[in-house]
Amino acid sequence: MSGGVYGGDEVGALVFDIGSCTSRVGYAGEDCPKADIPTVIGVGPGEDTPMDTEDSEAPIKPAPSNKYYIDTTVIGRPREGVEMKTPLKDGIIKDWELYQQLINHLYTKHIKTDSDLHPVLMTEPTWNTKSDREKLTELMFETYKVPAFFLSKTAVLSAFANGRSTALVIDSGANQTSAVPVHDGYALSSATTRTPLAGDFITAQCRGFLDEQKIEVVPHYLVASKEPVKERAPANYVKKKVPEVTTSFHEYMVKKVISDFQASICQVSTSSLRDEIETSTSIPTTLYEFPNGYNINLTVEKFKLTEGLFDSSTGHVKGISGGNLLSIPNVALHSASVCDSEIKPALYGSVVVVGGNSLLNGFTERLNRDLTTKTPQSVRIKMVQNVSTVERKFSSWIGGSILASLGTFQQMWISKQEYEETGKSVVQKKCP
Amino acid sequence: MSMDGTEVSPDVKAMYESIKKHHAKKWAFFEIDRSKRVVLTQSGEGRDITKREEDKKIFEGEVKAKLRDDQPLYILYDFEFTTKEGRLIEKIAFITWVSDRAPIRDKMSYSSTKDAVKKCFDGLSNEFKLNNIGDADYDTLADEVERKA
Repeated sequence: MSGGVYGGDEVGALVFDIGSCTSRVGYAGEDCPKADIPTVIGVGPGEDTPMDTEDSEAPIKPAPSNKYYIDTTVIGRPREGVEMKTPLKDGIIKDWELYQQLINHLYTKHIKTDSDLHPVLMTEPTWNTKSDREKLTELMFETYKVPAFFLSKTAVLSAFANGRSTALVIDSGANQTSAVPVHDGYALSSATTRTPLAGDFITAQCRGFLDEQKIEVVPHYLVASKEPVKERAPANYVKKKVPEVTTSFHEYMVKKVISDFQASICQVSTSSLRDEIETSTSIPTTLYEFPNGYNINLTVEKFKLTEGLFDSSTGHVKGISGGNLLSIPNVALHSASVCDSEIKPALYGSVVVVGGNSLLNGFTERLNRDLTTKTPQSVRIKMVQNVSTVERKFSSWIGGSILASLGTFQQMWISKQEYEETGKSVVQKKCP
Repeated sequence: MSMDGTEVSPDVKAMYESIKKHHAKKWAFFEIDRSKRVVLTQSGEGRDITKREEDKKIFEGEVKAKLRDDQPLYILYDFEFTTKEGRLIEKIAFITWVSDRAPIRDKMSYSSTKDAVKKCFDGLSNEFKLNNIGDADYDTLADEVERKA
C-alpha cells in the first residue's frame, strides 16, 4: 500500500477557493460553497492591552494588536480608523497575517469544526510561485494540522467543470484576465498570458466616466434617506452621521456602488465600436439610480466603457499605465500561439470562458467574433460556457468540490505522513 | 476502495487487448458506476468489415445513435475500412463522450478520470473528445484515423 492513499471518502474534505474579490469554502461533493465572503478585510486598532508598566526590562511597547473585521455584513459598517486591506495581489498571497485571519474566520464562523479533521483542497493560480506553494503547504500542515492537502490550478478545475481535459481557459476576474492552455489535465504554465484588462479596469473606466460627467458617487453608508428626483436633477437626500472613516474605507464603499453600476449598465458591443456608427439611435436607454437618488439614462456609453477590453489600441483605455496592453482576444491568441501545433486545434475547439467579468452582457459573443476574425479560416473556434450563472461564478470551487470527491482522486492527496517524510517540497512533486 | 489507487476495472484493459489482438468486439462502452469505478457496460460483436460504408453504418447505428446528453461514456471503436488507395486500415480509437448539456458533476468526473482510463490502452494512437452530437461525425473521425495511420 502506498502512503499516498487517503481514505477521503469517510471524512468530508474541505475546498477553499480564495479569489481576489471573494473567497469561498465548503465541503467537497456539495453543489455550492457553504460561504462566499469578501476577501477584503477591515484592519483597525485593537483595544489597548493592559501592560505591566513596572517591567523595566521591556521598555519598548509592543505594537498594539490589530482588530480584524471580516465578512459581508461586518466590513460595511463605518468605523473610525479601519483600513481596508486584502491579503492577495494578482492572485498571489502577499500578506500572510491577513491570509491566516481569513482562513481562521472561515474555519471558526462558517465550517465550525476542527481543522485537523478534514483534508483540504485549495485552488491556486497557474502563476503561483514555488516558494509560496511550499509556504502554504507548510502553513496548512503545521498551523492547521490538516490530515491531507492538495493544491489545484483554477484553470484545470474550470476545464474539468466544463467537461474538457484539454481546453484554452479564459478567466476574466476582478484583477486580471488570463488565458491558460490546459492539456490532458495539466496547465501549461509557460504559455499562460495575462492582462490587467478585467473587472477592476471596467470599474476604473466607469469611475472616469462619472467624474467626467461631474457625478458625485455617494455610497450607501452616507445616505440616511432620499427623495425621488427627475433624471439628471440634483439629488435630494439626507446625509447620515458617521464616524470619521479612512480613505480606504470610503474608496471601498464607492467601488461597491460603481461595481453595481457596472453590473447593471455595462454591455459589450457585438462588433468593434470603430465599425459602428457611434451615434446609433437604435440603442435602448438604460436607467440607473445611485444610492442618493440621483439617476441618469445611458445609451452608447454602456458599450464604450467596456470596449477597451477588446480593443486596447484606441482611446478606450484610460487611466491605466503602459500602452502595450494586450486586449482579451490577443491574450487568448498569444497563449494558444506558443503551444505545440499538434494541440492548437483542440485548444481553439474548446475555449472555456469563466470568471465574474465574463458575465458582462455580450462578452462571450464578442470574444468568439474577435477570435474568429483574427484566426485563419481553417481554424474552428468553439466557445464553451456553463449555462447556469452559479456554475460560472463558482466554477473553480465546484471543480475542486467534485475533484476532491472522486474515487480516482483519493490517491492524489499529500498525506501528513508524506509531508513529514519529505518536507514542504513534496507539493512540487504531488501537485503539478 | 482499492488501495493501489486504480479505480478502473480490469475488464477495461482486457477488453482493449481482445479488440486489439483478435478484433473480438467492434466497439465497447465504459461508464463510471455508483462506486466510482470505471466498468464495461456494453459492447458490439466484431465483424469482418473492409468497406468504409459498412463501417460508417455500424458507427452511426450502434454508437452514435446511443449517445445521450445525460450519460457520458468512454468508448473504444475499432475503425476498419479500406482507403481510396486500397490500403486496409484497422485502428482502435478511444473516444470520450461528454455532452455539453451533461450535469456538471458528470462532466467533471469523466474528464478528470479520462487519463486513468487512457493509461490502460497500450499503443493507442487515436483519441477523440466529443462534446456534442455534431462532433460525432464518422467521416471527420475516419479521415483523422486515416491521416495518422
